[in-house]
Amino acid sequence: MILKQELLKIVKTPVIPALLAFFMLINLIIIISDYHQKDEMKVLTNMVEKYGYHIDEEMLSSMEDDYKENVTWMNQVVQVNDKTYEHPSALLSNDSISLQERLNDQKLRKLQKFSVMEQYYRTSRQVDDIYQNIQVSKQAEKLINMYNLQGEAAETVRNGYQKVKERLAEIIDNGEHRNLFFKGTAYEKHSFLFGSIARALIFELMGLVVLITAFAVNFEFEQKTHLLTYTSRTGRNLVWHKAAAAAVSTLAVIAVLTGFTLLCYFLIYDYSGLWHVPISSYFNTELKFPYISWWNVSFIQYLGLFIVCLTLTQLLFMAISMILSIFIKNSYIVFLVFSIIFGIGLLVPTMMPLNQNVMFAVHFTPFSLILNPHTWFMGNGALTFFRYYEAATIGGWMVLLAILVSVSVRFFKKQPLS
Amino acid sequence: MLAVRNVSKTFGRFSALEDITIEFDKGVYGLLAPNGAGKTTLIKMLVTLLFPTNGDILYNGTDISDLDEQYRDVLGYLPQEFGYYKNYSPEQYLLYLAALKGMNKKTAKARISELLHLVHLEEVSRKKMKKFSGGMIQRVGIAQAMLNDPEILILDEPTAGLDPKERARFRKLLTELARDRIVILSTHIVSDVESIANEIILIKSKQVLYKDNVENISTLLDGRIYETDIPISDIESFQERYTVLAEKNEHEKIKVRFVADEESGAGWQRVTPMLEDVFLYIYDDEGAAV
Repeated sequence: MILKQELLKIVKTPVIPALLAFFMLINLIIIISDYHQKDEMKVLTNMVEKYGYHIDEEMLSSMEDDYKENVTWMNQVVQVNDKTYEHPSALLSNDSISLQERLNDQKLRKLQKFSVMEQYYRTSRQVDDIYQNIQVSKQAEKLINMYNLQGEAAETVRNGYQKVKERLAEIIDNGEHRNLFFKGTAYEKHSFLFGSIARALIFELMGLVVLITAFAVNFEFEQKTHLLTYTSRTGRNLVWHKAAAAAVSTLAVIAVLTGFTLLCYFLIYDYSGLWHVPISSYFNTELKFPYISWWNVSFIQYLGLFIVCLTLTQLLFMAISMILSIFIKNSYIVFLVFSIIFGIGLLVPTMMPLNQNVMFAVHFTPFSLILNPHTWFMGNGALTFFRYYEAATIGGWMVLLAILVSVSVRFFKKQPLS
Repeated sequence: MLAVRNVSKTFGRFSALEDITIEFDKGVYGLLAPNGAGKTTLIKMLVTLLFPTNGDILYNGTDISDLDEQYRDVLGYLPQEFGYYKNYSPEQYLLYLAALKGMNKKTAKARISELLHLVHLEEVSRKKMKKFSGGMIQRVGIAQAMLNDPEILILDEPTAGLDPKERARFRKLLTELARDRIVILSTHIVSDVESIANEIILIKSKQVLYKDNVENISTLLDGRIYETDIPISDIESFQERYTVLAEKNEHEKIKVRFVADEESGAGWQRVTPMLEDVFLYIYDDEGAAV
């Protein structure tokens, strides 16, 4: 009964559903910003339907047969001075031929799709060579120079990248990289979904969670009903019911906003057949250095890990807000103070010496954690690439905040209320 | 029995109450003092909103902080000012408070119906409280204080906002309730407690000045209260010589009620002291008297 009433108070706070609806709209706008890629992306899902996603000799040979057939078709429909083209890219890059004049829409579309297929087919043949030439140590030095790291900090990156190198060898050994996926250099779907969209989602949820928690904990003070509620039998233990209501509401907004965002994303961009592709597939690579997950996880498993990590991080923000709300009796001031703490959390790492390991230690905060969700569980980057970075950050802060919440509630129970 | 033992309360350097010792048994206690005398501080300590800087508050021999929810379970409290959920009906609001008081829904519903009838709000029990008058809200407050049939009922300025008829009804209700419980009623309005309080507690200079029944407190001014008619032109010099408790214009004269330590003067009529006379006399230096 008490929990239900506390939940109703949150639900009936107009700003929460209004913000939730606004954030849904924002995320939809972000999602459709890549809508123009949708048709091209479909080429891959059709290929995967036909050939599967794992790149092996059987698959390449089957793909090669079709590829050759398409090359023959291409040279038949576009005959120019008896010249033949080996690949559609060669034809498409020849500016002297006006394909719009020679081909009807249907044929032109087929040719464009064929050109997309070419990228997947030819890259598939080169994957092993590319991975043999990846220089992990060079990548480490590049990052050290980029962040101007020196001394023991630089050494930490070098040592860390030794582990990345071992993991890369494992990837090559078990063939995680040999799987078709949306080409990262062309579509950047990983950083779009787990970067742009995820970051927006995380920040939106953070705002909602801070407000929900502050509203829940401070509701009686803002309505001036605290003199009645905290002198009832439940008394100041009511704050635990409020914490439970805030946690349930936090989980609910995470479910609604994340559910809505991901549903829209996957309804627009078809991932059928790709759910079980390892996230460390070469095709996911967007820059020169590929994404190297610390564990062999598929796309769907990575998505699951992302949701778990996102949820736990929001619960950390909830705990921080709860502690603040015990000391600050105004929801909006709680929000403001949280923002300041967040800013300090981001500012502190920039003030650390670049030659000491403390530089890495100060990144083990939920504030730094949420900045780069696309590299969660990955051996990428220079400052948060450690194997257990996410687990250590979340686990450590959970323990710390559990202690602080407990101390704050104990303080609240002895706090003069008037 | 509720016992306040040598309780002091300070807020930083400001001392609100000093060495207060009072015992409450069953009956109505009128906590009488002008505003700002520390009544609300004492009450907030009795309801666990504030904690004594020194001293203890014991219920049946155990510190109320140690009793925790056991103590609050027998407590009913009406604050001087309290908020309410504007979009809730009295029934919804009381149901929520009943849940906080540990009552099950079925018992709570029956009790709420009974109480809303008692405070004459049954017809608006499902109307949103945002349209209620101050008096109606105060009656909701009275109902919530009695929800759990408390052994200790503490009411801080309970008649604020009530019309004279409601005040009279409220006093009658309190008399009935006080038969088997402790009722502590804090007020600066003498008439609220004069006729119903078993004992009056007067607080002055941060300490308990008197704790006795109305008759005994009234005898403090026995033989010293007079009434007389004086010309309007003499009023200022009269006020300088005597503590005037009340004035009333009558034709071209003023009828004054005053305190005098000397023998009866010409035209003076000695009258029986009332509680209000003592109250006004005691707090004369705090501006309570005329």
